[in-house]
Amino acid sequence: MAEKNALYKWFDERVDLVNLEKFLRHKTVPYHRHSLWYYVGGMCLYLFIVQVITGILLLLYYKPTAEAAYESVQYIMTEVPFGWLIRSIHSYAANLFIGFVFLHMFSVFLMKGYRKPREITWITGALLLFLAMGFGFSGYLLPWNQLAYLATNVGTNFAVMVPFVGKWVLEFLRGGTEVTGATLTRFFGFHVAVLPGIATALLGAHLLFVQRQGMSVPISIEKEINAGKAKRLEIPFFPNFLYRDVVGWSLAFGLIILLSSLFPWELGEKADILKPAPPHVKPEWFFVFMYQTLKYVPKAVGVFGFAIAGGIWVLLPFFDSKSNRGEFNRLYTIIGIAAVVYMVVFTIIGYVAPGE
Amino acid sequence: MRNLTAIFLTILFASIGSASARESSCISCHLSHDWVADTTIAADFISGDIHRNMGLDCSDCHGGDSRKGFKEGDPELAMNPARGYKAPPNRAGIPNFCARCHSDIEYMKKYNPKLPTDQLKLYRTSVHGKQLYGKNDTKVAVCTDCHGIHKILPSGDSRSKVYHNNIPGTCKSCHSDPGHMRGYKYKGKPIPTDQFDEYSKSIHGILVLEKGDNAAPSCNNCHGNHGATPPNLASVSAACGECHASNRDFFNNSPHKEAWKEMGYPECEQCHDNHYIHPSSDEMLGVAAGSLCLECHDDDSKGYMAASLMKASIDSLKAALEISEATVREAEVKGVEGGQARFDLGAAKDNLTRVRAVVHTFDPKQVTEITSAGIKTAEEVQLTAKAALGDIKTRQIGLGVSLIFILFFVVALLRKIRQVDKKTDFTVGDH
Repeated sequence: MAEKNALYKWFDERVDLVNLEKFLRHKTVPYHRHSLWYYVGGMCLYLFIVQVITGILLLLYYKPTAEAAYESVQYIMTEVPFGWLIRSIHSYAANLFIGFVFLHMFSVFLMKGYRKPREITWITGALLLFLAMGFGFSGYLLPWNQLAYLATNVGTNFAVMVPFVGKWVLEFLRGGTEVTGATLTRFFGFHVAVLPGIATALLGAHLLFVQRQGMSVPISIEKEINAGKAKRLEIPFFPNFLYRDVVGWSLAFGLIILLSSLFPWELGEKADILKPAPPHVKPEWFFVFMYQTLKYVPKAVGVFGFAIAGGIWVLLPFFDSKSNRGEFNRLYTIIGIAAVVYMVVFTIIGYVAPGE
Repeated sequence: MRNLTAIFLTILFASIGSASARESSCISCHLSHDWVADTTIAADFISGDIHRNMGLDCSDCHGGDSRKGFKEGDPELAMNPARGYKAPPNRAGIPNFCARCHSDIEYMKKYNPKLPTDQLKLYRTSVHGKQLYGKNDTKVAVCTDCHGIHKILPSGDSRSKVYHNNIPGTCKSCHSDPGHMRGYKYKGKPIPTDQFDEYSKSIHGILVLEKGDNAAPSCNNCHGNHGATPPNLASVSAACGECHASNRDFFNNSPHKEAWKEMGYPECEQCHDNHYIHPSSDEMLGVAAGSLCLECHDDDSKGYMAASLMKASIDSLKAALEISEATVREAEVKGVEGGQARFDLGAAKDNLTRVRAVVHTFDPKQVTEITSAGIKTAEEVQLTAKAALGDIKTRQIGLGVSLIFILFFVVALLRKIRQVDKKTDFTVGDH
C-alpha cells in the first residue's frame, strides 16, 4: 500500500491526480426516464476503440495490393493465431458501430440534445457519422473480394453525379477511371490514415464539448422539473454510470462474440475484374436506403438532394430556434421520426425488392 | 499536271514504302493515268510489298531498265527486251517465275536466310502442282492466288492472306466455291466444298477464326502449304500427333491401331472427324446412348466392357473432384482454407487431364490406375477441407464458453450496481 501511495504521490506531483479524482467523484450525469440513451454515445466510443485495436492487429499482416490483399486476409484467417476472431470482431464491431452511431444521432435528435449551447457537439457528431460511413465504405473493399469489389464499383459510380467535378471525384476515389488495385491502395490509405486522423480530432472535440457542457436534459423533463412535477436527479459518473456503461460494453462484446462464432465473417471469392457483375449487387446496408432512393429519382437529383439534406442535417441546431428557446418543437420530432421511417422502409425495400 | 501528280505520288509512296528503294521509272509511269488505265499495280507495290521493302524493284522480276522511260516519255526504253524485259508470265508460268529467286539458296540468303527455298519442289508434289503441270489445269492455285501479286506481305504480317489465322479464308476462296471446284474429284468422289463451314464450327476453327489463337491449327498445319495434299489415312494421325503427341503415342500402342488399320479406319478422324473436329467430351466414351464406342462394339463384347469400365472410372474421378471442389470452395469462402487444399486439388485435377489422354490406350487398367490415384488425392483434399470446416465448430464451442464468462461478469456487475446505487443519493447536490 505504501508503494502504491508512493506511486500515486509521484504521479500526483506531476499530473495532479487528486484534482482528477475529485473531478471524477463529482462528475454526474442527469438521471431520468430517458437516461438509457446516454449510454449509446459511450457505446459508440467503446466500439470505436475496439475498431482501433483490432484494426491495428489486422494491420500487422494485411497487404494493401490487388495481388496480395485477398491472400493476406486469407492468411490472417487461417494461419495467424486468432486472426479469424480479430477479423470477425473488426467486421461485426464496424457494423455495430455504424448502427449505434445512427442510434446515437437519432436519439440526440429526438431529445433535441443539439439545442443551444450544444450546437458544436452536434456538428462534430454529425461529421463523425459521415466519417463512420466513410470508414465502412473504405474498409469494405480491403479484403479485395468479389462482393466488395462490385459494391465499391456501384458506390463510387455515384461520385459522377456530383455537379461539375463528378468525374474528377470519381477518378480521385478510384485512382483512375476503374476500380483497380490503385483504388484498393488509396482506400487503404483513407481507412488507416486519413479518416482515423480526422476522426480522432473530431472525436476529441466532441468529447471535450460533452465534458465541458455535460449531458443535455430533454425539454419535456426540464419542463416537468421546472413545474415541480419531478425532481432533478443525477447519477455519479464514477462508479454508477461507468458500471452501467461497462454492462453495455460487455453485452456488446458478447453479441460480437456470438455473431463471430455463429456466423464467422466470410472471406468470399477473390475479386476478378474481368468477371461480369451478377444482378442485384448492393452497397453496404447503411447505404442501401440512398441506393434504393436513387432508383426512383433521377440520379443527379438524388445525389444533389442527399448532399443538401446532409448539409442541413449538420447545421440543424441553427434552424431549430424553437428548441433553442427551450420550447417543444413537434415539427422537428415528426421530421426526425419520418427520417427514421424513411431510412428503415427504403432499406427493407432495397433488400426485398428485385434489383436492377 | 498529271505528271506532276505522278511524281508527287511516287515521292510520297516511296517515302512510305522504303527509303532504300531505287528511283523507278516503271512506278512513275504506272502511277500515271497518262500512261496506264490501272494504277493499282504500282500503288500496291509501293505500299508495303515485301520485295519493295527489301529494296527490290520492278526490273528485278520483270527485267528491263527501270531507270529509263519516264523522263524520256518513252516506256519502250524501260520495257526493252534487249535489256532483259519479259512480259508478265501467264498463270502456268507463275511458279517458275517466282522460283527463279525463291529456289536460289544463295540469292535468298541475302534477304532472308531462314526462308525455305523448296517451295517449287513442294508445289510440284501438291495436288495443285500436279494438276497444273500434269494436266495443264490453270484453275488450280498458283503462288499469286495465296500470296497476292504486287502487294505481297510476309506470312507473319496479320494483313497477309497467308497469315496463320487468314489461311482458312484464303483456301476458302476456291475450295468453298462450288463453281470453281466443279469437276474435281478425290478417290472418285466430287471434292466437297463445305470444309470451311465445318472447320469454322470445329474447336480448331473457333480458336483460329474467333479467338485469334495462332497456336491452333489452320488448313496448312494438316495439309501442308506449298505441298498441299489431302492427307492419307496414316498421315491424318501424323498431322494430329504433331500437337497431340501423347494421344498419338497412346493410340499407336493401343489395340485399335492394328485393328483399325485392318478395317481401313482413319485413326483420329474415326472418332474426332476431320474438318469439323468437335470439342472432345467424356461422353464420347462409354456405353451410353451417343457413345462412339457403341459404333463398333456390341453388347457384352470385351470392348464394350472396357468402354463401360473406363467411362465409369472417369466419372468416379469427376464426381470425387466435384465434391472436393465444393468442400474446398466452402472452406475458402468461410475463410478457413489457406491454400494447401486448393493446391492438392489441382494435383487431383491433373489426373483427370492425364486420364483423358491415357484413354487413347483403350486399356481399362491404365485408365483406372490414374483415376484411382486422382480419387485418392481428391478424397484426402476433401478430408482436409472438412477438417478446416470442422474448426468452425470448435471455435463456436470456445466462443460459447467465453460468452458464459461474459454473461457471468455482467450479472456480477449488475449486482454491484445495485449495491452501489443503494448507497447513492441521486438528488442533485447530495453526492
